[in-house]
Amino acid sequence: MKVQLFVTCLGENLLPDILQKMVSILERIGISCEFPEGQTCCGQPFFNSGFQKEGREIALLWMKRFAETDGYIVAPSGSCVEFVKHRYPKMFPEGTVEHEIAVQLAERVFEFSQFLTNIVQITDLGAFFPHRVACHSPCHLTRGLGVRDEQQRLLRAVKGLELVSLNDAETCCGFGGIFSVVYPEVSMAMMEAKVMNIMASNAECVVVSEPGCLINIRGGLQKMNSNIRAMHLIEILAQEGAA
Amino acid sequence: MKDVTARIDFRGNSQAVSPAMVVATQKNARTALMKRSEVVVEFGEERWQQLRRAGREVRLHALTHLDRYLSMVEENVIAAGGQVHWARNAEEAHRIVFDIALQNSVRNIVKVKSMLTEEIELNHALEGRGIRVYETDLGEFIVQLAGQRPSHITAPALHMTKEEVAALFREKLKVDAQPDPKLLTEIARQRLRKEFLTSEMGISGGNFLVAETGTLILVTNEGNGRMCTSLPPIHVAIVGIEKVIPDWESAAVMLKLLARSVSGSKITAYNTFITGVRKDGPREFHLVLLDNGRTQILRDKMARETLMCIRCGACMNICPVYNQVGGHAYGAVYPGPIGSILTPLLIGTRIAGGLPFASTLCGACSDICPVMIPITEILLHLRRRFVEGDDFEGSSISGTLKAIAKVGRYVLGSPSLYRLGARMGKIFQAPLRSGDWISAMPSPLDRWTMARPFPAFRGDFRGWWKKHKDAKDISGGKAS
Amino acid sequence: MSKGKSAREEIFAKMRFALESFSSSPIYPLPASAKFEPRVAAGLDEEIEKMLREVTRLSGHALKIQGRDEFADALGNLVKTEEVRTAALSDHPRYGDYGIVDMLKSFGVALLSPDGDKRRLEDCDLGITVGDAALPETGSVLLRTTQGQPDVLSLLPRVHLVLIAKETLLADIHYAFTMAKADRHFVLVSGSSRTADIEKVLTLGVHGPKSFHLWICD
Repeated sequence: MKVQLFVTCLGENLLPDILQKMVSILERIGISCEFPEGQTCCGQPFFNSGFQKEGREIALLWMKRFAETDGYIVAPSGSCVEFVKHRYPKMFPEGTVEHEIAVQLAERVFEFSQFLTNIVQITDLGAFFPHRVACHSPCHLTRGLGVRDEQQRLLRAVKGLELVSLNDAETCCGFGGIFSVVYPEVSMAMMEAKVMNIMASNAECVVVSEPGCLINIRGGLQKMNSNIRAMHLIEILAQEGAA
Repeated sequence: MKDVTARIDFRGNSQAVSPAMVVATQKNARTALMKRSEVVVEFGEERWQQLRRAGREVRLHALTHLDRYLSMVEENVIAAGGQVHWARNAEEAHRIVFDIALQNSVRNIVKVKSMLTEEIELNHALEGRGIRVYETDLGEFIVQLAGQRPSHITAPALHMTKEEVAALFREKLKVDAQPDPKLLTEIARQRLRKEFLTSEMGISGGNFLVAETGTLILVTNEGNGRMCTSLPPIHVAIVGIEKVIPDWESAAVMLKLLARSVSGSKITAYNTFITGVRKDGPREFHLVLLDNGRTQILRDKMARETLMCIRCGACMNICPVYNQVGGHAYGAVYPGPIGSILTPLLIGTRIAGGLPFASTLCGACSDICPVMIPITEILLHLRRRFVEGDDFEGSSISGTLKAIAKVGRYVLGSPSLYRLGARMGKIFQAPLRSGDWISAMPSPLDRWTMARPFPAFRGDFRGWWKKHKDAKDISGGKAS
Repeated sequence: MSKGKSAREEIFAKMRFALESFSSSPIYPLPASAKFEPRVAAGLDEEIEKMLREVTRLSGHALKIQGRDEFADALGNLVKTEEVRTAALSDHPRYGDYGIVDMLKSFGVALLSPDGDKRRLEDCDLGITVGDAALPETGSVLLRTTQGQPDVLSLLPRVHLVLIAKETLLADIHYAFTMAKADRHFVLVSGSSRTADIEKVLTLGVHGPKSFHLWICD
């Protein structure tokens, strides 16, 4: 099996180590990766901010780049995948070439935990992470893509890992793309509420599998001088060790 | 909402909110959501989703054929001895009500809580003409005495403590009031009893209008809804044109959805069904049907679903933004997610364009809405209206922001510029960077760092990938 | 806004333009997706128990009464505990032969006419009405407004007693509507008047009766 890496603009620039680990996990289970070099961004930041024309233009570039490839397209982000899967087809009128391409691409694109559990149908990657772990539910992954317990299933298969419950796990962390800079005080208050819940969960580590949420929550924990590590699911699954 | 002519400053408003308001908002929301969950479980999760779909279809069908159903309402109300008036806007509604009051020498009016009457500021208009208006819902009675705006559509005084209410009663009613909810309620009961029995007119809104028979449905808990519409000799009901439902089967669907969505009761204490006039009731029934911008919203095929709202308040209860700022931050009558779409649709994005951006697009509201209004979609639709303009309104965004977006589009549109941008980012961050973090950035990027540090640009995925691929090619695909 | 056009004409013109509605083709019936299956009732005994439970949950007092003697006892009890001195009774034919008027007189309760001055009903302690249907699903009672049973009878007195026959229990609100929709006025009463507007503390008897009693009779 072969996948095309959809690295996402935030992922590539701010979380490149997570991308490397994603590649190593996939190769470990016998899936070869390809990286379409011309990719930049899926267009979501523009489109969702009201700049739909610019969003559409960037989307067309993304589509052009990935339409030249074949196989599954995998990203470490529920929001980017949701944008391609649900928004792209709606951007172009039915009957147009663009719409057709969008529909085809929408069928190929998956978020990482979704891909592993539902397509590859694997939950045990031989990972070892002997810590107490809480799991944040990113809005676009759960409500947008309907990916609700795939993460939990993958986490439960990790040896030594103790999954602890997180209060208000499904409540938004306050990132919301431009929201974080248009209404920074409210965004901060929401982030602090999320961080409070994380600290109260007695976890050593919190899984945040969405680049935007991850930089938000990691920054929040850093500000509080907390020892709790915010990690992407990929970082945990990449932890090999004592079997 | 005539007085809302200045741009609504959500950011400024949200910072002027007292911590006590936020605490009260969250307490109200949590309780309502918890009880709602219980009754939904009791109803059956799958059945509840079917009910939501039926609710959506009912409201959508009614809106799609609104002119036909409103004709039926009018015909049936008149046949039952009632009178029907049409108001294009707030001023016309004021004039209609005032004329009825004048003709009947009305001096005192008792009123049931109605968001629509707040929207058109009816009380103010009537009081300006020398008529006394008494709000009779306990929460509305309290905020009226305090001269404040309600902070939630179904729990108007949730932001006030019992001590504040007691002090208010002592000051305004000149009575000895103790900070005990039961005693305070008794004071309000006694005070308003007099008014119910002596007022010449009762004004209500309406939760639904059943086209099949021209019946007005009022959903209440306290009993004042019945008092105001049974005791005074004149009853005036002011209802938005969008509140119509086709028939009684639809009414059953709506009432199953409403109370559960509001606060987790299966039904409210009183559901009153009024058709025209009856022997022992008010001698006159007036139905005032109000447009006030709704026909304009109807023209927008996408956004017209906003009018399906049954005013339950569930969206604001679950909204994480609303729960941090409370109702007053939204600067107008309707707060929370529904307010973020309804207000700009009613008064334009030039004034209310900041509201659709007061959301992280988390989708919790769309998920909980009993009639499945696609709130998130409409938020995006209105963001576009604010930024790009559309058939309904021109763009309201600043030239600076437009320029920034164009630059961004240019950079992201070119892989080489994009990579250059990443390299520049690493260079420029150097003096600001401390290890993995940048804790302060120049304006306007300080909007991020004021809340939490920003991660430094580091690593180079593409460089790593090239090496990785080369290594694999050399070893025939076995290296990692 | 065009001159000479009435508000009504203008609103309709705007609606028709917005909805592109220029035909008079039938809009009925509603699509199947707009319908919802009514609840199916359990057995009568179970439904009665459910009704009693739901009313209690709504802070009402619910009783099952069998026979005239039990009725008289319950009424005497009610008069005593709620300190009833005046009462008004619905003219509904259903319980005419129970002799409620005589029972009340024997308890020393003065009777007021339900059709009288509303201000007098305001001072009345107890209003007795008869429900035409009851909904165990939500603990609700359907009260139709008629000549002998004005709306204020269940609204103004301090205590409200509703009598319902066990045959009138309905499975779903849908059936209650089928029964009453042609009426000019009716109410569905579910428990006591209540509010939580002050600090979410539940308070009963805001503007409506302070105390609600429901008896399921033969």
